[in-house]
This record gives sequence, structure tokens and C-alpha cells, in this order.
Amino acid sequence: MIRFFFYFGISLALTIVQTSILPGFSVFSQSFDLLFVIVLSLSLRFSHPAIGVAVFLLGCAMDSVSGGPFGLYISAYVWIYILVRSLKSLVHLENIVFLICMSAVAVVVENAFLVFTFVVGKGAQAVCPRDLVFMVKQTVLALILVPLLVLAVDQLDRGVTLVARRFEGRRFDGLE
Amino acid sequence: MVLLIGIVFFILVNFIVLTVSSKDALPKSGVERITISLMAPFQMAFSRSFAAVEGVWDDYFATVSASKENPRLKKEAARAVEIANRCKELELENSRLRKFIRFQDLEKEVLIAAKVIARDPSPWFRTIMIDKGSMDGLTKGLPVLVSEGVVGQVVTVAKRYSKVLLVTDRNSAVDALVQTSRARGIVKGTESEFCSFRYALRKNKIEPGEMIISSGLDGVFPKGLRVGRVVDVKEDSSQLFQAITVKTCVDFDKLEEVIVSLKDSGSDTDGL
Repeated sequence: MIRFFFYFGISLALTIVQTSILPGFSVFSQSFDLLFVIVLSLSLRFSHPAIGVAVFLLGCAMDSVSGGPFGLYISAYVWIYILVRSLKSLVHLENIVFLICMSAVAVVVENAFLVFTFVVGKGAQAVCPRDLVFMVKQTVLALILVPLLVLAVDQLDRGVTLVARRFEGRRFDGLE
Repeated sequence: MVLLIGIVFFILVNFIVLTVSSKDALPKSGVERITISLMAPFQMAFSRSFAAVEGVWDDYFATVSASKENPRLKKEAARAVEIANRCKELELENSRLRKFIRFQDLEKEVLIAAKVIARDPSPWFRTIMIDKGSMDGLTKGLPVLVSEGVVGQVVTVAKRYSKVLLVTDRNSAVDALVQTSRARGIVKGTESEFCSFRYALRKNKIEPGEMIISSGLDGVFPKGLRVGRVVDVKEDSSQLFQAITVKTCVDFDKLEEVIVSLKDSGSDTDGL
């Protein structure tokens, strides 16, 4: 239960950072989607089918607060989840190269869906070379920052779980 | 086999939903409104706390600079009073003349002030979230303005919050005209922070620095609102239209409060 609240809190915090803080700084105007961190963390660490529902709900939340066509984030997150879930059985979970590759893949998947919606909605001319440069920048940025943030969330998760266990242990000792 | 059929079905449904949604043909679902209603209070609480902390800091510096600016501003205020008085006279004269020629376009307007509580999480789209919704009388399609000019239009309405599509978004379009030459065109958002003024014929001479105002013909924005200033004009002899770049009058990065214009009639209600 503590982990549910932990991931819920982190997701909410990242959404607020992304919608209320980062847009105020021009340095972060080309930032990638911060919720990749949560989607990758959840997909890598857990195998429960409920994670698929959680990822879907995250996409739903992002689709609602964003001006993009509804379904864009749901599609991106669910496909990232499916990809990570299918590939994680083939590699060691602590493998940093796998994490770096999946971070880049996550940005590419989201941008591929984005290009699809632009082309379907406005035609091929809707995507200009400037957009492609922007996508490359986002991918490079995600290659460096997403693995670091995923590892940070992982450490925080372990810390929170440890504290929760100690707290449970003390309660158990008190009862004895 | 079942798994394969399931995967193919999932991919098909995924792309069909995205295609329909991209063409803006997907009806607005309650899910979007519910999620906005759940998320927006957190966003509002955070942006207000952030603004309060920022306000204390800004107030200190503002007080220091205000004492230096005060004498100059007093002189300017005296001049402004004189101009306001002259404007009042002109307004009264205008009103008398309108009645005289039986001008019918006296549309009643109610303005509602709203605070910006969040911005679009994606750098690809340009929308903002405001703290007024259907409970305050907002409906889809209403124009959103500030004193500097046009901001955008309401695209999604929840009970207490609404999403506004900015004029700089690539899905946005405003019917406009050049203030001096009255050349007509459409201001469209682009992938950059600038807008483009499209469909302006080459025969119309348009110079950088000229003001673009709303024409009122799109049925969304009232006539005469400032949209932006021409910064670049490119004429290609093989093209029928000119390629004009416009810088918006509104600085969207510093937008904190906006005004929503509630028209008495003619606003689009989509059942949200």
C-alpha cells in the first residue's frame, strides 16, 4: 500500500512540475515527458497486470491536461509498457545499458505517435525539419536524464519500503 | 493464435482511435473533464503557493524601484487623466453617432477574469488551464483575452476549470486583418513562438511593424482586438499569397491572468 501512495505521489509531483514549474523556464522548453520515468520504473520493477491499468490511467491524465489529441499519451505509455515487459525477461534488470536504450526508445515511441497524429490530422507538411531536430534533442536529453531519474526513483522506493518495514517491525515488537 | 488476433485487434483499435482523435472527430468524453477536475486543484494549489512566494520577493524589489519611479509616474498619470477625459468625450460622441445611424451591432458582453493555473505538459502543444469553468458560465469556443490582445479560445470545459488553446498552437486559427491596409488573412499558430499571417494577397502591400487585428468574421473573437505585429514579409513571385511572420502582442510565458468574454448569444455549447 505504501508503494502505491509513493508512486501516486511521485506521478502527481512530476505532472505538477511539468505543467506548473517547467513551462516558466525557457531552459526547459525542450524537455522530454517526465512521466517516462514513472512508466519505465513501474514497467521494470513490477510484473503485476495492475501496472498496465496504472500506466493507462497515467496516459489518460496526461491526455486530459495536454492539448494533443486524446489517446496520444495512452498509446505511447501502453506501448512503452508492453515493450519493456516483453524485453525485460531477456536482460538483467539492473542492466544500465538496457535502461539507457529503453529511455531513448520511450521518447522515440511517443514522438512516433505524435508525428502520426500530425500527419493524419494536418497532412505530411505539418511536420517540418525543425520538429525533427527538436525530437533528436529530446532523445539525447532523455538518454542522459531518464536513467538517472529512474535510478533516483528506485533508490527512493527502496528507502521508503525500508522505513515502512522498520515501522511495521516496531509496531510488531510493541505488540509483543 | 488468440494472442496474435488480440495484438492485431489492439493495434487496429489504437490507430483508429488516434486517427479519429487527430481529426478532432472524437466526441469530448467525460473522462477528460473528470481528470481535469481531479488534477487542477493540485495544480492550482501549487501555482498559487509558488506565486505567493514569488510575490514576496518581487514586492521587495518593486518597492525599491517604485520610490524612484514615483515622480515620473505622477506626471504621466496627470497626462493620462487628460487623455482619458478626451476619450470619454469621444466615446459619448461615438455613442450618439451610432444611435444616429441606427447601428445594430451593440452586442452585450460579460467579462470574466480567470487565473492561469497550469500549462501544457508537452512542448508540442500550446494550451493553458484556467480556474473558471461551466459553473462560471464558460462554454467551448469562448474567446480568451488580455489587455494586450488575443490569447486564444476555450476548448474544454470542466465544472470549475477550463482548457484554453493559445493562438500560437498549430491547431489555432484567427480570422484577422492588417489594421492600416485592411488586408484580410488568417493568423495561424506555427511550430515556433511566432504565428504566420496566411492568405494575404500579394497585391496588398504589407510592411514589417504593421499591426494585425481580429476581423470578427470567425464568430469567435470580437472585431478590433490586437493579435500581433508583422515582423517579416516574404514575397515569392510564383506564389499567390505572401508569407508573413507575426509576433503576438501577448507574452505567453508571462501570462498569469486572462479575461474570458461571455457573449450573450451565439456561443457554442457542446453539452460539456
